[in-house]
Amino acid sequence: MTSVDNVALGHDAIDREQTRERRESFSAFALNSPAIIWLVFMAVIPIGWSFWTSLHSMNLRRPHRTQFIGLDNYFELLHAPEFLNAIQVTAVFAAGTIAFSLLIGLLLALLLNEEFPGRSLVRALTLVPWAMPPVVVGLVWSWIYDGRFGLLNAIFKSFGIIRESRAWALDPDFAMASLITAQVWHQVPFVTIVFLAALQTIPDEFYEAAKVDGASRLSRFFHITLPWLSQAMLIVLITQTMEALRVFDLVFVLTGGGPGDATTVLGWLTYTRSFSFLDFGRGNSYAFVMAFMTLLLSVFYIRLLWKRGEFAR
Amino acid sequence: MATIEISDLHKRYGAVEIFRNLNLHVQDKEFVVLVGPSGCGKSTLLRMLAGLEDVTDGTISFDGTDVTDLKPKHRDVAMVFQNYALYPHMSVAKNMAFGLRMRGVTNAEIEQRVAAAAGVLGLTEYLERHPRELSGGQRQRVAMGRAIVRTPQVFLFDEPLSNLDALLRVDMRAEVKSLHQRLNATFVYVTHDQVEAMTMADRMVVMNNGTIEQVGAPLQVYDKPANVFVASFIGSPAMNMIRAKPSVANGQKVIRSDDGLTFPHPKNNTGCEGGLIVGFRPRDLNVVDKDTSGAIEAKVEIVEHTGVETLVYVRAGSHKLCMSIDKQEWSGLGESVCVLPDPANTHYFDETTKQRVG
Repeated sequence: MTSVDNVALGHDAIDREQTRERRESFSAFALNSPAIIWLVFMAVIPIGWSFWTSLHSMNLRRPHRTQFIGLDNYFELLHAPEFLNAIQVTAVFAAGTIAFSLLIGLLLALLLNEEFPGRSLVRALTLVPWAMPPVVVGLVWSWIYDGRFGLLNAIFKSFGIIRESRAWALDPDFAMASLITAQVWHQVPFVTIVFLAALQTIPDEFYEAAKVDGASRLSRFFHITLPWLSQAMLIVLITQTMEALRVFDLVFVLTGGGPGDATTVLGWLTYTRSFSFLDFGRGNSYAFVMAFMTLLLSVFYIRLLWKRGEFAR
Repeated sequence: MATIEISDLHKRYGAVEIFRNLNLHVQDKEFVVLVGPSGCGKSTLLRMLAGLEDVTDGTISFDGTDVTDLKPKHRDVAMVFQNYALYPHMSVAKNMAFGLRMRGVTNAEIEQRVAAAAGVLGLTEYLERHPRELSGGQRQRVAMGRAIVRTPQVFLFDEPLSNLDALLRVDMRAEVKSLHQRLNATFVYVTHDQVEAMTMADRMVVMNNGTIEQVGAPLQVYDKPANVFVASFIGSPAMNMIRAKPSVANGQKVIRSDDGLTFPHPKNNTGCEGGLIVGFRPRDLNVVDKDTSGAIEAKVEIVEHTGVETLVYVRAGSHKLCMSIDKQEWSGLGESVCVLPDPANTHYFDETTKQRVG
């Protein structure tokens, strides 16, 4: 065979390879296309449409006055007292729920990681609140907080903490605390499970080496357990931040954003602005600010904790 | 540095008894290797020395001080673990400094001790790296560094080389040995690898099923195994073992197996009237002329060339015997040969007690 033949053969082989690759990528695309089409119709188009709406002055009470206003909705947010108040309320709610979920979830995980009789049952029971839909959680807690028949009043009265019943979720001083408590109760199981899963991967040898090195129980926790949990912490922080920033159903059932605007979080404001006042332009801009804040915080967490988690592998 | 005294040690997990009446004395600055098969209790014993396992009964003393109920941090021991147990989020320097920090040593002294240990172990350039950025051998050195910076009374090693490849293991073996000579400390080292035990130990403790089968210098254990277990466990390839009984042939006392293989009667033996187990190492089985007295006829079945030696497996009667000879070509598969164990290095064990009788 001559060298010319060899070159020709080489070109043929390359052509065949390229054809095969094209065919493979086409079939991969064809097989995935139902999912892609579904995703495009159910997520990409609505999100795009929502963003497009947020660039308009669009109130369904005056539909004929809809007009493109660019980023004006976003600029106006910065001066809207309702938005600034919602940011503040959301921040308090988020800080409260994240801090308490994290703390209680971690303590529970540490407890459930120890061996004791009935541990499996306790683990299973811990999951129950997480299995409930947020609306049901809201209903359960609305009965607990109820001003006339609520369990909380009964307990506090029996211990002599209060003399007269209160409608806890409607009390300006306790509405936020009530909301945070219900949310924490709902989210703690998830946090516990994530931490528990991470705890179970810590090799015993680390603790044994630390014991031989002279580390106390507290030192072992801070020098071994906590760094090892950094990646689990990242997952918890991101998911809990998202849950807290997006909270809506619990507010809807429990406080309705009140009393006044004491529990008007961003999610609730977005809802009322869009569906009560029918101001879809502004409502959608709130939604996008919410999404952007979540993204920003997630990036912050990742930058803060990712490297530590990497080392723990 | 310290002596270690283990007296009447018992260890039970519920109904399962791990040790019963275990006694061992380790001298100051001695390198003692606990060796035995998996599950024999050697790691448990080491962990009891470290204080990581409770003692059911009995005492452990360091330099005459009872440490049985002391927590690990009060025992002044350092331990090197099988999987290194390096803290993954800490740099090499911080890993090595951790024990010192926990004991409140000043930063200046920590720096100085870590630098010195890193220098000894060739880790100076890796001090800022994390464990995941190191090779297996380097990690092992960091684990040793973490132990030596504390200059403890006793160093404990739990199969520290078992995760390394064969070549690296040989290097690290020498390093651990030279570390012992440099530190002049008491070392207790656990391994299931008899070569490690033989090459490193001042004295080796052969364990099986929670009991100490034999304690002695490596060559003493190799040359005079106390019982059948030690004889079969120490030495590779394993010792050839044949069941036999005292008999008389041509008016002379001999030991004869069921299928007619005869061995000389042990000279200094007085108590081998019942069944015996005759043992001889592959190295002590030689090819001889067929006229040689006591020669055993055998047929070559397998030949293995290991490079340094040639292992020839022969069939003698119903027994498969292994013979180790100097490296040489041997192509005579199926060939008949006559072999004879070296009488000076033939071991006799009581078939019932399994103990050495000659």
